[in-house]
Amino acid sequence: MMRKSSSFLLVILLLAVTVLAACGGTQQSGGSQTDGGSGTQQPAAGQTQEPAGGEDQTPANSLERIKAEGALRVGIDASYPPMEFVDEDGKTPIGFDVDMASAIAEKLGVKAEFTIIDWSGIQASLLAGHYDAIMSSMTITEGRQNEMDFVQYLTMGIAYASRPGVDVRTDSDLEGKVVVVQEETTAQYYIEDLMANAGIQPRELRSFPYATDAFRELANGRADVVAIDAPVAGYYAQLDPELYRVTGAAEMEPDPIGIALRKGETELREAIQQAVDELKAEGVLRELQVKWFGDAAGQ
Amino acid sequence: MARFIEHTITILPVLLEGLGVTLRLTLISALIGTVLGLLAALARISRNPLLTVPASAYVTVFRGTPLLLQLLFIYNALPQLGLLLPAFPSAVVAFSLNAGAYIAEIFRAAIQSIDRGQMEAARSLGMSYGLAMRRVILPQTYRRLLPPMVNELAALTKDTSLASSISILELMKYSTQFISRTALVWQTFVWTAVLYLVVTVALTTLASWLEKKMEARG
Repeated sequence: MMRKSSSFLLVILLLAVTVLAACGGTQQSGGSQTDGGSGTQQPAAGQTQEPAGGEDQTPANSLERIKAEGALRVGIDASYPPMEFVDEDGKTPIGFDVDMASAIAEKLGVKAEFTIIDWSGIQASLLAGHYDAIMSSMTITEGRQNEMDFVQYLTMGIAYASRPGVDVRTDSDLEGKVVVVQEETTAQYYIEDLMANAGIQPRELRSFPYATDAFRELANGRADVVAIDAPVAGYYAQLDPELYRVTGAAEMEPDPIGIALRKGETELREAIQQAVDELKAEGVLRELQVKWFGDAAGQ
Repeated sequence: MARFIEHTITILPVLLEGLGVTLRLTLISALIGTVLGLLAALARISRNPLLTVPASAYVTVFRGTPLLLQLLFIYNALPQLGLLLPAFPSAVVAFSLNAGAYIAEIFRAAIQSIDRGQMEAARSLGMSYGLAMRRVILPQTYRRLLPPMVNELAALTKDTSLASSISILELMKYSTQFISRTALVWQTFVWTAVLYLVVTVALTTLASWLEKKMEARG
């Protein structure tokens, strides 16, 4: 009996030692992240950024709190090149929205801190208070405006990228094709609207969590065309030109893209609106468009 | 091939970092989950309804709802009720509570598989219920616990990939981010799979070594 107890103890000890070793690792990696100054928010760093009960002691408004903390916390889904994705190191957020968010933060006199999160949870986490703004190519829709306030900073059209041998140029060319989209995106809503109201019937419409999944469907020959924001289509087409080409565009007004904020944070919204206006006037927005998508945004 | 090797050299250090996060989440949650599970199992088999009812409710709720829902509830719904937990603690709470519910049933099954006569004999020797449980019943369950516990830990290791939905960058998330950037799918997933396998194979090896050791000692 004593022997059995001791081997059980051994298991517990082993577990404890491993956990302790792993926790030691936390502090190290957390530290190096902060030193990197990349703005990547690691889980370990997150713990210090969200003081318990911070909501109770919030300064008069969120703008003042952001200025006091010196950081504008921004949520992004870093799987949407060239809008927001990660650098070669696999960690540092880069892209049009990342540069734009940093420029806006600079106007507010703070620095931008990014939280990378899956698209499906990006809105709930803003409303829960895990960050202050979403800057992740979010289209301003009526439904979203019921939940959040927006500051528009860009417009984007939807492009059609086809596999070799398929040539989808216009909406009506979608007839009879297997169309893939990223789920819960404007491209999905647009195609569904075409099917319901314009009498255009693709053979099938399928949606995937990530843009890459959609493009893999083309590469694997399981689909004919991807409908997605134009800059993103452009990025993947230049990555693998023999697998997919941008062949056309949706016949629509480009969608308004906005910075999403919690409702009722008027001071923050006005400050960001002013920052965006200034960046437009100074030509910074234009420069970033040329830098990240060679001006394919359609604005 | 050159591109594959180059890609491997780029991604492996970052994937290993992601594996570190995965391991940390798994081990901390497994440890807390085991304690929770043992307590819940003991509460469930007790005769006191003040213990059995909450323990059964806990197991029912956390085994009966999706882990993703539990994770998102703790991270995104609790703040609306006044409790804002950062990402990592949220994940640890969710994974521990979920694992604890399954582990409770593993413990309960193992304890109840020990012949009732053992408890009666121990009690008739004058041992208290707690002492008999600690000295007589529980030690006999260790070998029966091992295989289902290894199952649970392997499942937990892989379940931690859900943490990316609450902004935790772990192995699976780093992997999909590399794929988003490069569109190199198999070249990335191969290494991700290898790293998960390293963990689960290490776990099963440790378990079978322990099993043999206990067998030898009888």
